[in-house]
Amino acid sequence: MSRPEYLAPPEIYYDDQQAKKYLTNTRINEVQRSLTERALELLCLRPNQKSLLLDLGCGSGLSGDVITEEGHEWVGFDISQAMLDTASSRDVEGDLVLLDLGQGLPLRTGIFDGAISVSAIQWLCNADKTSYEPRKRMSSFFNSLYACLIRGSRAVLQFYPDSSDQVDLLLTAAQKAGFSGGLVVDFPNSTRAKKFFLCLTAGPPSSSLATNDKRVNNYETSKGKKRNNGISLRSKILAKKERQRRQGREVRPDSKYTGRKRSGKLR
Amino acid sequence: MRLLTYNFLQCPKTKTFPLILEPTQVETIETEYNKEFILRMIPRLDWNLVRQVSRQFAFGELPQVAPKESTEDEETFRLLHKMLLETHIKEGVLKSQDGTIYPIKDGIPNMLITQVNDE
Repeated sequence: MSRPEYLAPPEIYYDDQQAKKYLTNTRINEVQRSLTERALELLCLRPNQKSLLLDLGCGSGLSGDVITEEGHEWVGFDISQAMLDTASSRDVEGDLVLLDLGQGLPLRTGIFDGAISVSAIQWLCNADKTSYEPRKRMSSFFNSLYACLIRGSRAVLQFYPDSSDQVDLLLTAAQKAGFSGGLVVDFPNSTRAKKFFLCLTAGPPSSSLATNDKRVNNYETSKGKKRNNGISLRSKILAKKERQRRQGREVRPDSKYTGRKRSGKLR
Repeated sequence: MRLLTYNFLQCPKTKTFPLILEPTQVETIETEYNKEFILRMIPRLDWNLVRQVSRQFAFGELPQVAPKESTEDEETFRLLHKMLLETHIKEGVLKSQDGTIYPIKDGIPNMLITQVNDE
């Protein structure tokens, strides 16, 4: 199958016909559902709490349905009028806004508990109009996304890169905007089922979210972890001790001296 | 578009806040009341705009300071729920301070910059 990104810009490609396809095709439905479920899992939201989420490239609202089922509120952005019309005719629970992600998100700062995106951000790599500069569009997208997220919350963006260059381009843009995190690849050995998720954290992770963190660490991140992003040595040591304690090893108790340098005398 | 989302939106071009809302068709869709969620949204809301909207939509006068968890004012929370989560703007326009108009059609605001300019 040829990539839709090569055929036409998203606002033209996703016309009434495509929108209908998304509504009736059970395979697309299933794929969208499972991708959304996986993205929500990677978001590591606090359990039993209604969160406010962003759905970037929400299309006909298939991913939004999953969010609603999980008990969260959402606001969806998309560039295709036809897809949004389909969503609104299905009476989805979330709010819909017609918007070009590359122009940045028109949102105030510190609003959302998380953001997901299913198969959308690879469109940012295209220059469909002469005025488009993919790098600029990516940076305004990631900057505005970073701003509208609450510190320590996550964005999980599933996408279909056409080359490793695209992955690099998107990762660099995200990191420049201040995000930490990396790439999670599901089913890396299968060409068909292989799925890429860009898992980003806005700012230093807050302690309330840290309890859930170990789940993500189990997955292979293909890119190296980011260097020491403002994480102090002490918190690293404390985390390591906690880990070893969990493994049942003998660990010295934590004190105010943990992670401090020795005073000059003893060296 | 619910009024909750309206409270978060700023002009995509000039980044000014708030946008001026001029609704022509409004709809109420009831949803389950969740006080905890309202409480979590309050610090994220621009309270001045909430009060202004409350007046604009004839929901009545809201307290000058946003209620907190300790505030025992169930009525205000109910009102906020009704206003922010149950009131949908079906048709109307959003106006930026520089005069740009973003139309709302069928509940979907059109915030595209270029398209607005082309028209």
